Amino acid sequence: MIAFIIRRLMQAILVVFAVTTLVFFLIRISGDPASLGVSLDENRTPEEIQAEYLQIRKDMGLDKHLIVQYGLFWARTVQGDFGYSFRYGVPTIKLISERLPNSLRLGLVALAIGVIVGLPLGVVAALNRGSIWDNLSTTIAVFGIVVPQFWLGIMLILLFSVELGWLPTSGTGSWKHIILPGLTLSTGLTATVARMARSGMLEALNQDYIRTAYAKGLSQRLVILRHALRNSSISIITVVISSLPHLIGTVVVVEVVFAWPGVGNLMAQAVANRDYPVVFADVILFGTLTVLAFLLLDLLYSLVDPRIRHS
Amino acid sequence: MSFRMIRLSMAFLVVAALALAACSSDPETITVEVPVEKVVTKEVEVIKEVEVTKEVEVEVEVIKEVIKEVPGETVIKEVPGATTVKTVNRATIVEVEVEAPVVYPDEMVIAIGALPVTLVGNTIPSLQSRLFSRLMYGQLAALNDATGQVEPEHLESMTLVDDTTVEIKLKKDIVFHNGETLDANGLKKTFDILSNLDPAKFTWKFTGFKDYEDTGTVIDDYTMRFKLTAPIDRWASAFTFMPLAPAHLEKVGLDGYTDDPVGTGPYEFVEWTRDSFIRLTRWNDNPGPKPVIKDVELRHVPEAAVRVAGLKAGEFHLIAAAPPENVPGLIKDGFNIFVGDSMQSMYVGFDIYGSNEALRDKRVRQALLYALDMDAMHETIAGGYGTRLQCQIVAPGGFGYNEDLVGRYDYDPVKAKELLEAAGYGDGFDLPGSATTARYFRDRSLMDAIAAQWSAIGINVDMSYPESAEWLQLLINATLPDGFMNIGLNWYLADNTTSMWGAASDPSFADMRTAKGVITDPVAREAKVKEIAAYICDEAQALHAYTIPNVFAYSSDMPSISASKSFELQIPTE
Repeated sequence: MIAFIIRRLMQAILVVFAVTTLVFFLIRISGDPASLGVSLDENRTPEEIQAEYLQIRKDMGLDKHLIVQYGLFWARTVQGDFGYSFRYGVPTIKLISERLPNSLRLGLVALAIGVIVGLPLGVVAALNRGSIWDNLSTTIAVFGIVVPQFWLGIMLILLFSVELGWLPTSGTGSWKHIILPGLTLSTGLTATVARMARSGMLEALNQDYIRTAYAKGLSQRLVILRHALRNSSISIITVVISSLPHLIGTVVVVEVVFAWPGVGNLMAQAVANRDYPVVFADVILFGTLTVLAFLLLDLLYSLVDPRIRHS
Repeated sequence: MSFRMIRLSMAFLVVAALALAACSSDPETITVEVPVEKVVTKEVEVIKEVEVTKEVEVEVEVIKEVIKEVPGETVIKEVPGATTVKTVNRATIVEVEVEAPVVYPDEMVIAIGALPVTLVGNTIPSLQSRLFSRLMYGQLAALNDATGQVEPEHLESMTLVDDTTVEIKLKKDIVFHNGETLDANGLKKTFDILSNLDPAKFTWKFTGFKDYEDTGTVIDDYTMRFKLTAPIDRWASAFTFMPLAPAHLEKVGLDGYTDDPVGTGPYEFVEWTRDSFIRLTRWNDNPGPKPVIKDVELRHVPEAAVRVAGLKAGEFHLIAAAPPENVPGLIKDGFNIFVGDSMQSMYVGFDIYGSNEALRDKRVRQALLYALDMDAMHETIAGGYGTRLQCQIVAPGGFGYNEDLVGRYDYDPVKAKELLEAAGYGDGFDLPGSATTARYFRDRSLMDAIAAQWSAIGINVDMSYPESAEWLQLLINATLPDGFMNIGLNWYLADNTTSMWGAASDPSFADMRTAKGVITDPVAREAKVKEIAAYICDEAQALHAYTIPNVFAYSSDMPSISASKSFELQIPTE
C-alpha cells in the first residue's frame, strides 16, 4: 500500500510539474506584464516609450532567455520561494496564504450543499421513476449542469439580496455572506450528485438483496437507507471527489461575481495583469489540489477493490 | 433522511426556481428621459428696485451659492469670493432659502471596481484608486479641473526661478494624521526613498522627478530647489506628490507603511483587507474643513451589475463607475446620479506608423472623419454621457480648447465619398485596424461601429482585437497592423494635450510638439496647444471621439457628491 501511495505521489508531482511548465510557456505567448507597466499617455515619443518598456522588462528579469527564466523559476520554487507579486509588490506566498482559507471555506460549503441537496434529489427521482418528481429532479439536475454560474450568481443576488433583502450581495464578514456564492458554486456538483444518486439507486433497487430485504418485512425507509443507498454510495463518493477539480475551476468565476477574496479572485486578477509569480503559484496550488483529489479517489478505490492496488 | 424532508427540499427548490424565473423575466424598461444631473438645488434671485436718492455707482456681489430647497427662514446671504459685477442705481439682492441642518448618516459604504494594491500614496498606479488616495492623502500641488493647471495645495508657492530652476515653499502648518509635521528635510527624505526602490520588488516606479537632475536641495526648513535637466512645460507635474510621514516611513519601511498608512487628507486609516475593503474615519484634528460623513468604507466589487444590485439592496451608499444603461432605472428608483467627464478620452489614431499608402493621403483621412456619425455613436455607445469631442483632445473648458474646430468634420458621407474618389480610392481599399477589448470604456463597441460606418463608404476594414497585454506589446514594439488603432488617451493635463499616436510619424507635428515642450509660460503654451490642435484637425491625423464618463450613483440620504475628472470623490464639508 505504501509503495502504491509513493508511486501515485510521484505521478502527482509529475503532473503538477507538467501543468506548470505548460502554463509557463503559454502565458508568455499572450504578452508580458512589462507592457502593462508602460505609461502611454505622457508626452513622449514611441522610441522613449519602447525604452521604458525594455527597462521594465529588465527589472522584471524578462529580458533573459526564456529557458533561463524557466530554470530560475524552478530553482526558486523548489526552495519555496515564489517571488514577489509584480502587481502587489508583496511575497506571493503571503497573498496566497491570505486568501486560501476563504476559498477552502467556500469550497467546503459548496461541497456540503452539493451532497445535502443532490443526494435527496437523486433518491427521490429513483424512488419515483417516471413520475413528476423524477422529471422535476432531472430538470433541476440539467439546469444545474448547463446554467452559466456567472448568470446564476447575478440572478440569485437579484432575488435574495435586491428583491427579498435576505442576504448580502457580495464580500465577506458573516455567515450570510457565504450562502449565495456557496449555492452558486454548488450547482454543478448538486446536479452531478443527483444524477449519480439516481442511477446508483435505480441499479441497487433492482438487485436481488433488495427484494430479499422487502421479503424479510423491512420497511421501505430501512431498505433504502441501509441497503440501497449504502450500496450506491461508492459511486456517489466517486463523483463527489472527481467533481473537486471542476469545483476548483469554477471557483474563479464565482469569487469574481461575489467579490469573494479567495485564490480564484486572485487568479483572475493575476492573469489579467500578467502577474506571473501569482499565476504560477496559483497554478501549482490548483494543480496540487486537483491531483490530491484524484489521489484520494485512487486510494479509496484501492481500499475498496484490492485488484486496483495490485494492477 | 425522511421522505418528508426530501419532499420539503424539493418544494423549496421548485419555489426558488420559479422565483428565479420570475426575477429574470422582468427586464427593466428603459424609456425614461435621462437628466444628466438630478436637480436637487434651487437658486432664488429676487431683484428689487431701490429708490434712487443719489446717482452713485454701486458695487455689489451676485451670489452664486446654491443651497438645497427646503421651506424655512428667508435670509440674505453673502458669499465671499463670488463674482463681482457692477450695476448703476440698482442693488441686486439675493434671497436664499436655507434649510435646517441636515443630519447625514455616519457611514458611507462605497463599492468600487478596483481597490488599490498598496495604500502608500504615490505608489498607486490605477485611476480608480485615486478615489481612496485623495480621501487619505493631501498633495503638495493638485490639478485644477477648471484651469487644467497644477496649483499649490500644501505648498505656499511653486515658482520657476529661471528656465531650469524650480523653487517650492511649504506651508508651515501641514500636519500628518500621526501628529508629525511636514518640513523640507522630511519631504526630501521621502523623495529619496521613493526614488530608490528595489526594482526586483517594486515593479511600479516613482517617476515624479524624471525631468529633474535629482530629488532637490533643501534651502531652509520649508524651502526646496530643484534643477530641471532642460526647460520643460510640465515642470509642475512633479509636485502632484502626496506627502508621506517621514519618521513613520523610516520606522516601518514601505511594506509597513501600506499596513499602517499615514497621510494629510481629511480621512485617516482604520483597517483594510487587501482586495476586500478599506475603512477610513474622519480625521478630527484636521485643520481644514471636515467632511460631513464620519466613516467611509471602500468595498471591492469588480462586477458592475453586483455594484448596482448592492446599491438597490441598501448595502452600498455609493457606487463608482455605474453602467450608463442603468442610470435611468436608478433615477427612477430614487437614487442620485453624478455624471462628469473623466480625464480620459476615446481616441483613434490613423496611419500609426506612417507607412499605410492610402492613409498617407490627407483626403482619405478626412474622408474617414466625414464618414462617421459620431453624435449617434456617442449617444448609443456612451449613452450620451461624457463630452463629445470636436476634432481635438480637449473638451470645452479644458486647457488649450480651440473653439474654431467645432463642427469641422460633421457627418457627411457624400463628402466622404467625394474625397475618396478625388484621392483615387473611389472603389474603396483595404484598411487594417486593431483595437483593445474591455481595456477602455466600451472600446470594442466603438471600434465595431466605426468599422461598420467606414464599410458603408466602401472601405474594407479588417479589424483585429488582440488581448490587452498582447495589444500593448504590439503597439510598443511597433508591430500592430499598419492602419488605425484605438486608445484611451489622458487629456486633462496641458502637457498631454498633444500626445499623439496617429501623428507621431509626421515631422511637422514632431517639430511643433518639441517647440511646445519648452514653453513654460502658460499663456504662450496654451496658444501653441491650440495651434497644434488646429494642425492635427486639418490634417485629420486622428479621431477624437468623446471623453469617458465618470458615473456615480448614490442613495438619497447622502449629501450631494461629485467627483473630479481624475476620479477624486468630493464629499461636502461641514
